[in-house]
Amino acid sequence: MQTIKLQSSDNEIFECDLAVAKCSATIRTMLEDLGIDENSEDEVVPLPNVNSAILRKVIQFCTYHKDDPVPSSTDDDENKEKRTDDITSWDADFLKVDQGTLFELILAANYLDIRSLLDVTCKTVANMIKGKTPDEIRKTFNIKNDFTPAEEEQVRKENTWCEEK
Amino acid sequence: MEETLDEILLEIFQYLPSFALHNAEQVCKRWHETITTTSKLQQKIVLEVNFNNTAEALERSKSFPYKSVNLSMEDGQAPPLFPTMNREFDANIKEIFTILGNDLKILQIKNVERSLPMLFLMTPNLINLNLCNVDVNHQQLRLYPNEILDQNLSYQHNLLLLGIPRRARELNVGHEGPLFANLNPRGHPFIFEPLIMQRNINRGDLVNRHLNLAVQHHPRPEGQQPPQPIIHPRIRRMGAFRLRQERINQRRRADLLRSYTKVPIVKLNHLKFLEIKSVRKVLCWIEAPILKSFIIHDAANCDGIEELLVSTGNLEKLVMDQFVTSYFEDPENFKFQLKQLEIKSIKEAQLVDENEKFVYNLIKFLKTQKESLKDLTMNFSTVHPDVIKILNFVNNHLSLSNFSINFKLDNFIDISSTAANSVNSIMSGYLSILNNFQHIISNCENVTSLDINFDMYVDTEVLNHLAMSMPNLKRLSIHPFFTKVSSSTVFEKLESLKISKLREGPHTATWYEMAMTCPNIKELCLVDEVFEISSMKLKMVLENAKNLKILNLTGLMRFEISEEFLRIFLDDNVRIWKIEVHARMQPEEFREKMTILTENTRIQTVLHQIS
Repeated sequence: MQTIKLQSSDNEIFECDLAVAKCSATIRTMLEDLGIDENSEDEVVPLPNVNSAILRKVIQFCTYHKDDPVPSSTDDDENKEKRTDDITSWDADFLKVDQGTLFELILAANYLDIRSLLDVTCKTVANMIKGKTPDEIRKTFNIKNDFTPAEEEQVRKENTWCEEK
Repeated sequence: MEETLDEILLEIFQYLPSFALHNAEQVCKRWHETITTTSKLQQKIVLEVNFNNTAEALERSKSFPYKSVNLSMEDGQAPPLFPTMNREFDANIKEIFTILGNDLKILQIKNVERSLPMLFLMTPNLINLNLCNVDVNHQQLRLYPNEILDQNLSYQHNLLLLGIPRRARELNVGHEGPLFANLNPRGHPFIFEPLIMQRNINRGDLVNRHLNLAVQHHPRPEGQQPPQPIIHPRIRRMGAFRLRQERINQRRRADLLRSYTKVPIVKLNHLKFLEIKSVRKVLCWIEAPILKSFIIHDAANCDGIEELLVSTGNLEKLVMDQFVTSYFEDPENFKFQLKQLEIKSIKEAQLVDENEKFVYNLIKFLKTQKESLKDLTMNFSTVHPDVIKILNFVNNHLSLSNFSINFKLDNFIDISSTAANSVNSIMSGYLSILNNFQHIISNCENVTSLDINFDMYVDTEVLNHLAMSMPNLKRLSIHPFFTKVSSSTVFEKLESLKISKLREGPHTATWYEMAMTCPNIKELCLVDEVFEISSMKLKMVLENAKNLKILNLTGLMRFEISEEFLRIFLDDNVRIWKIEVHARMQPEEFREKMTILTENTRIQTVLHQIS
């Protein structure tokens, strides 16, 4: 089994299965572009945007999902209704983390270009937004309301007709 | 970093339904900006317009650049025959579409019978149009008076269900009324690629069709098998046929079929495949510059075909029920170069009625296509001497890789039992073809696939000639009717052999003798009314054909499997990978034998029920 060393932003080295690391399109590209030989054991791939705690979680996710078929994205995909109720129980358990970790995982998935992790984390956040009023959403995510009263009224007016379907 | 956060917000917002999006829009300026400036998200924000809220909807349309509109009525809210009863309604609708028109991407219209073409002209940038229970042309109602139709069918002319998902690969449209009537040629730019039109579908079928549509349009990543449709398209067509047979009497059916349906198709710039069934007129201003494939049924009764052919410069495949001579008077006008041509029926009446014109026009047309044409299928219902002229031309001037000639002399048996003279006449023509067969099949080195679907009375020499004339033949479908098969006859490169008569007689070659001429076949297909073959002979064929992997066995009426038959396959030395059995009657005993085969060998067994 081929392995690869990944270095987190806080300089911790993680040795992981090459197939697991290659779940990340960013790492795949790095290996190709930088000409890092998969057989060279001394080479370390630096990941300056991911800290060790998050990288550990990412490796855990990729190890579990490494044999999943690679979904391909098409234009039709973009047009179809996106579901959020199809998160597997393993993924749901995996994402039972505090909000900060969840957002760091999203950032890491985005940086490392791990589509499946990005999808499932974004779905989790979307589920946290669904069914909430604007004020409840602000409280959930600790977001400041930066609308002026007039602007807020205008935005609210635009949406008063809307009914949940 | 800011850009990254916007990207992630967008990723998250894509999972929100429209109501949640509206709430998210009100959270903060950043979220508001992300949502209102992203067209993909805006398309989820739908303006709902119904009979009672048009004034309110008009106000909303002024305050937000909606990309998606649902215009729907409850049944009976907008009486179809009195479109001007509510002028305020019409004025509001018109103004809404004037404001939103150019930006509108998605439009769903339900239960509305109004001047829809006007709406389409005002919405030139639609990417998704969904019409349900919509009538677009009141004039047509008069052509479908309810009294001539079954009550259930009378509703159909009002029913139009047309979903055009973006980049749809396949779209079936069934309806009993004008589909795009009154649409201006400068109107809506439809973007789907293939289009199959047919009429006389009941409402249930249409609903199912819509469901199928959704399944068929499920994204298909490259290299991945498409999802299985709920119902196969061909079965749906059978449904339509059943409807006509069972629910409409003949008189009504005739009325239905006589009805004039015009199907103008407007700027189908992306259309690649067009199939038209039982449609009376295709308006000549169709524009489908990249149309690749065109299938027309009932071509003789449909106007506008010639104009359509003239306007389709990239056509590669043309399938017609019959060759309508008048469309091909000036074939040099056609810009296309066909790769594949199929004429489903060439009848004696046509050859006789049109004298030499038929052959002349067909050959003239074939000449214009001879550089590109590689695949030709012609089904003859006659043995008229002119057939020889056509076949001779094909033989001498075309360079085909697939040539399929089918003779379906349906009335042969009937006539033979009643009128001796007719039999003589037919036999005379029949033999004239057979006498020429040797000549016809000369110089066919490039042919790799050949279907001969008539009882070919040829002697050993002719069969030998066939094997020598078509040295590259890889697929052969034949009814063996030989006096004898010579041991020197070998179809060296043949990989697939289909034999459609298994019964042996004093003057016929057997399937076995024919199969033994093909040492390299990979697939052997044996078909007959009654499937009953000698196990010993099958065993010898298996021993002779070392590469034989697939057996396709069909008993249209009865299928017999003996113990000896089973034992052949239970032998470890058998190299067969797959056996497909098509049988009508499948008693328990039969299934048990097939189960034994499956459980005790590595052979993949597929059992098909013939209905």
